[in-house]
Amino acid sequence: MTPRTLQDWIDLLLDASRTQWLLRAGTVLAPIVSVLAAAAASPGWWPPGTALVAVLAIAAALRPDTHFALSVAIVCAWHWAAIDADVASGWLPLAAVALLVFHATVALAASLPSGTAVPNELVMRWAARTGVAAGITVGVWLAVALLDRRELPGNGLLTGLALAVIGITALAVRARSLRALDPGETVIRR
Amino acid sequence: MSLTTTMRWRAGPAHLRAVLLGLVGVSVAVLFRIPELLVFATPFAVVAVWSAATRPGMEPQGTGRLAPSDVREGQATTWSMALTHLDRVDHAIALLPQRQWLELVPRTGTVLTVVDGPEARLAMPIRPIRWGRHRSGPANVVAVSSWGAFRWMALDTDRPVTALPLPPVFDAAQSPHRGNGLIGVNRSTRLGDGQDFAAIRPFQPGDRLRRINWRRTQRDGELRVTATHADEDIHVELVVDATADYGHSDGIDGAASSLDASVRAAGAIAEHFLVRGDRVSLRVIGGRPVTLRPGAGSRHLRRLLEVLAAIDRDSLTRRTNTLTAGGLPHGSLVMLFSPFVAPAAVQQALTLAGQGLDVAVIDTLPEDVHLEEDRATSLAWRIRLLERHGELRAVQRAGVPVVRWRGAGSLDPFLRALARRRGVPRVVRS
Repeated sequence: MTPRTLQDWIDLLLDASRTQWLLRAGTVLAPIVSVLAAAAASPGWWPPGTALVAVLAIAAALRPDTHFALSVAIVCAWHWAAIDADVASGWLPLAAVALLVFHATVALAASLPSGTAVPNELVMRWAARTGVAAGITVGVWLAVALLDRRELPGNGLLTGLALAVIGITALAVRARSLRALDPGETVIRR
Repeated sequence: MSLTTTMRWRAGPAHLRAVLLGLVGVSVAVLFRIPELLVFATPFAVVAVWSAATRPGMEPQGTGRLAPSDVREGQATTWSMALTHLDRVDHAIALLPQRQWLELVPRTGTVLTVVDGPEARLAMPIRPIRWGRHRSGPANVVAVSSWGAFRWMALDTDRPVTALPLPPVFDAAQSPHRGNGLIGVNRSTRLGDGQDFAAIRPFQPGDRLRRINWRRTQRDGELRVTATHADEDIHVELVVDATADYGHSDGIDGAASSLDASVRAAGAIAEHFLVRGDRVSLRVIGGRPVTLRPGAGSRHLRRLLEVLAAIDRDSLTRRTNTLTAGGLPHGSLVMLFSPFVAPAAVQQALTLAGQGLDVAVIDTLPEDVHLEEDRATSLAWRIRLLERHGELRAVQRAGVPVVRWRGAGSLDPFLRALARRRGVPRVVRS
């Protein structure tokens, strides 16, 4: 790290508003909550993993516009899969929602300069959205837990149908994300 | 529209993260029957689909302005941007660059608005704290879609703000001096048709009847008239030495450098005389020489302050033009604002005084200029200050008053001295 980079980081921390500090604190705490939920759902916990997640989460909080956040989410999901916990455990939706909160806080932090105070109106808007997504997540978890308890055999047709739906959705998302401007839309270049 | 560069809506890292974790995660969970992964991937899939569904369909358009673009130093102006065509935009942000002599509110130079419709407005107060022409932009404008998935960025046109010098209140109680004209608001040395009382004297043929002082006439038994001083205007030539800037400047709220003092003093004196109805002209020596012809009135004051504000502090040069009395009417009052560190300025004052003009030297060198780079420099500076002191004494001996600028009332002693010298014969070198 060059001295100039260090100075940039110091300036970043000093310029951050109080609401930005809270936002970034949420960015660090949310994935740690996810890892601790996994620890609660399993016999033992994973200190090196928790430390790794914490370090990556701090990096994501400092540089929200990078892909540190992606690595945090991957580590957390992999950790849960590795501990082989019961899918019906109530800790699972908590861990998933914690990752959702992490994603939302990082995305919001990335869209604002560090010195900008986050207005309450914006926080409420994002909280409402996150609440809707969290509700859907809990609903999916309830369905998964219910089906898991019934121990249904695998169904190739249903799996194929599900994959087809996922594929179509992926194509639609890709098309919407990368689409060119409509003919009536203009870009101002003066 | 005032946006110079725009970048179309683009997906950011947040959207890539949501798509990868959501759709890939759900696919892997279904293929390999990992229900925990399905639960983990669900919120990201929801966010990815939500973000794609609410992707803005139009490019925003913006019109920026800085109003007013001319202010006095220390006064605030407002940069604003009116955004339209905001389709499914979550919030918009503007970021103005930090400039040395501009105070932004908030200090970080960022302003955010939560968008709730097709239009939004971003506004940020800007306060120039030192006279001059400053660049306020270009401002970065960013619009963000829901979940921070897509961003649109644009660069606004750079908008200069002119900070006119804020003169300290200057008010000369003393009547300036002799002038040539027979109009204006100043008391002439000659008797004539005016306002100021001069004397009561016997009636002479040609006196107007309305000048007869009936009360005194009745008492003395013969006609007496009230004589008055004629009213006149004067021509004041302001000469600002912009060859160098000494001392430290903290803007309007702090310490003033020599050029700050010169510009503000010239502005104050110009305002004082122009408000009274006198004619004022301006010459800037050093840097980019500027000459402003004599004029009167508030519009001329505005023009004069703009010329002062246009002095470029970053391109001061020691190159000076020799001042002459050419073009100045006899009896003009010349005020030379300078720190008088360079001997050339002293010589200019002596030359003008030798040409029969009333010259005042306004010393604007700050009292706290210290050059402590090294011992030799410090010693050289002290020697130069001693020499300067001697040169200014020589100027005073030549009959040119030297006044240290201290704001209001600084020039009253000088104006009194000029008034006393009225009518005294002087040697004029041709």
